[in-house]
Amino acid sequence: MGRLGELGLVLALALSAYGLVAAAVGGRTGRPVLVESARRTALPLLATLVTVNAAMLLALLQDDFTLRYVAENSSRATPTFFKVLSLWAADDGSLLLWNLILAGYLAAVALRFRRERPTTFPYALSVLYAVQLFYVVLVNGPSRPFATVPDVATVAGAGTALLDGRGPAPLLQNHPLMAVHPPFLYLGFIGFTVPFAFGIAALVVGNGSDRWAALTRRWTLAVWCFLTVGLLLGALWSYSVLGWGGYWAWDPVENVALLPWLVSTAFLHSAMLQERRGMARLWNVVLVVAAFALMTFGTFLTRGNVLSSIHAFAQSGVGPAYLVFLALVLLVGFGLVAWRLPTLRSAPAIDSTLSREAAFVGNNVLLLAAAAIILVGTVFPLVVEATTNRQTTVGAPYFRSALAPVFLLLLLLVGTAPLLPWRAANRSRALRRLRVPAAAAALVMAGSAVAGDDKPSALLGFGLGTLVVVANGQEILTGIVVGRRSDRRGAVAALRRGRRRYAGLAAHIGLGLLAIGITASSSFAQQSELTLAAGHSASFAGYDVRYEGLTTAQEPQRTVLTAALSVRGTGSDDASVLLDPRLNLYPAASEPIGSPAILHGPVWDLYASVIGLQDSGRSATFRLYHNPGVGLLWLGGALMALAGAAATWPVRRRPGRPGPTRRVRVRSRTKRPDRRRTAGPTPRPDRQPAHPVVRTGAP
Amino acid sequence: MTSSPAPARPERRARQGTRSGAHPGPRPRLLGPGALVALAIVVALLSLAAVAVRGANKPLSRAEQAQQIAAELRCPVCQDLSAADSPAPLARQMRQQISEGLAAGDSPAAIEDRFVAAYGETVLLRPPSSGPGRLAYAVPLLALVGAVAAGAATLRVWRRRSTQPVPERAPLAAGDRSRVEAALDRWSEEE
Repeated sequence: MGRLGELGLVLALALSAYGLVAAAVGGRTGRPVLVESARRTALPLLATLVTVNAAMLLALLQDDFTLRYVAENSSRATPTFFKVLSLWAADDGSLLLWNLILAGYLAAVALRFRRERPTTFPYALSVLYAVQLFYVVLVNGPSRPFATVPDVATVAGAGTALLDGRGPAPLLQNHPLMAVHPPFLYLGFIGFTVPFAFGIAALVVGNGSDRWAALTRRWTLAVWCFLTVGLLLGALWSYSVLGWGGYWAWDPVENVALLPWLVSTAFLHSAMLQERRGMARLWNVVLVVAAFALMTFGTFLTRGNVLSSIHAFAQSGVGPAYLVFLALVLLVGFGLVAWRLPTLRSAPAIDSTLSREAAFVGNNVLLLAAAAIILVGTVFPLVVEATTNRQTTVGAPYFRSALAPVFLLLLLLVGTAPLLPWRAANRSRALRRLRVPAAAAALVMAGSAVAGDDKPSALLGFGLGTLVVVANGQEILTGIVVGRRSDRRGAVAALRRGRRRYAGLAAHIGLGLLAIGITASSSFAQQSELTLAAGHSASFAGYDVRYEGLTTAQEPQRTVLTAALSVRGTGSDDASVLLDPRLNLYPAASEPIGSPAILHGPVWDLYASVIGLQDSGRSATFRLYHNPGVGLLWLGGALMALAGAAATWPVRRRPGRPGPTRRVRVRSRTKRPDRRRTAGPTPRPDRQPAHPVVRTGAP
Repeated sequence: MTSSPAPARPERRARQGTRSGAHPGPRPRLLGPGALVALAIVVALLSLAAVAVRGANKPLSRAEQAQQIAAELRCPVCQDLSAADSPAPLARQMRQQISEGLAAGDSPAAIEDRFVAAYGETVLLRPPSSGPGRLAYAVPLLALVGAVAAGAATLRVWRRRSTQPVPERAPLAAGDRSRVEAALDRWSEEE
């Protein structure tokens, strides 16, 4: 298996090198045959990398401990499910998956452009192959997933493989979420290569065409969805595995994963400026290059042995390689931007500061401010230690207080900006649309003030979260109502036609729910540490909690100690619910790994982890958490991801432009003069410039 | 049938000026659309002020105080969690020491200093507010101010560019205009 894998990696090296050269030369000299052959190389490359991954998988499943990777990350006792997961449980193996996913994206691009050939295509293809080449070189040299165990190799031909492997890191074989969190995150990270490639290609071609932004917006959206899901799953993993009652620790690696998400969110918004109005060309290229560079930077920080955290893969010799690649990305990316500056100049002009264009500017500066704060906070200890040899920590309290103002401002923007039209808003109309959301937000704030809230930041979080949910929800409802009137096929057809907009609004609602959930859980969580003897109970957050005693179960790879708790609402007659927080003893771990038990509720979760056992389990120490809003957080996050997916899903092109040709039943309108009080038969100067351009500006 | 080419502004002013009903336009309203929004903002700010005052005056229980101190300290054996959050035995011990310190009447600062003496400056989850640490505190402020300034400057430049005069157009029939307005309204609501 090892031989097959190594062979495959060499073949992948050759294929990506060929693709890089053929696409670049073909594009440069205008030979479509070469470009086509480069395009077709994507498929064999993908097949090769599938084979390589399959080889590693087989080695893992067959307990082939002659391979160092298998010996270090799997064992005979490891359940098959976790053996499969071991493929990405450590640096070397995960690089194989990384390569596979990148090849998958390459093949997807090759398939998407099998007929259509934008001028940027050869160069984009070439950039994709270049990135692939880098990662294939990594697994051929600095990191060698198929290296054999040294002892076995030197005891030549004896065939004395190790009897057993070390098994995966205990923390990583403790929960099935490990099956989905890394792959989604990889899909999210690696996907940034596609918009990056097209951005770079647009710079190389240099005709100032806006088409690349339209071409890559959907790709970026898909990548954004994957990254959103990956981040959420990571938070869920942290919540369900680590036993600390929280979901985001502002761990450096979490931070660097959030950076490309923030930047790509900014791009998804500002790409609309370019698509519709030809504005912000330079800015968009910068954002795309920045997102890819930040992704590379994050990989360097995580895999380059710079940081230590649960995510950090120890002892990886690939650090310098990443650094060189990052330097190259920055140099080429921003070098090209500087070189093509003249063609990127668009003379953007807006008609009003009360317009969607202006709101997008606000969105971008705030998202980038957040990204800048996180980036600086993350690298700060590294820089300080390198320059002054003084060690510092920049942790959760810092990030929370530094980012709160930025995120609150963002919420304010998300709760008001979608009410603004393109070009210029009519002030009184905008205010009228703001009435319900503002009133709802004020009511929520007044209500929670009366209810005894004593944290101003929480009050703002709830109020602005409500503003976001109601404002965007109102826009969707208005769309449905108006759509039903104006479209003979009804509201569903209207929704489908404006899918991008409604998906965006739904994602905003998700964000609002997420914000409310985060506010609730970070401000009003209760926790307590209890030591209980078996059969005794105590009360916590309105519950009676009774320790039922310890049970021990032997599993092939671990020993599981379950300290069962029965929980019942104080004074209630309901049957009690059983919570089973566990301690898992792995032979490879010096300390037990906990598994918390969570009672998920619609409004709050009851969360228990066992942190100590005394008298061989006759008494146990628990940490109990009462976490409000966590369910809302998952719901909001899921809504964001789903909305993103809905906007990404391909549609049939709608024929022609809507607008003037759309069937509009004017009569239904004229029957309701009350809605249009300000719009008399007289011309309104603030609307006038909008008319001609609204029609031409849309795709 | 053409509408009178009267410019909008004088007419609007007239509408606001005469509430007597002598004007043939739509019925005047007592409150503009901004009134409710303004009211909502006032209510929101008042609640915020009330909550801020209440929060500032609320005495903290000893457990809450201990929690606050522990949340600012790193659990030295785990990379990313605070002593308040971590389930590790050392973090448990730290929480105990904090509670004991508070019970003995020590100030939070004194307790923190003891941890710094024992584990070094890295035990603090916030960078120190002296030396290079000050930079860490300047960054969020700079980022936010810079972002707002950059946004405002961008908007000003973009706004200035669009001062081309609106081309003159032939007056429209009243029916046409309202029809166009209605269609545009719907269009802009859907996009």
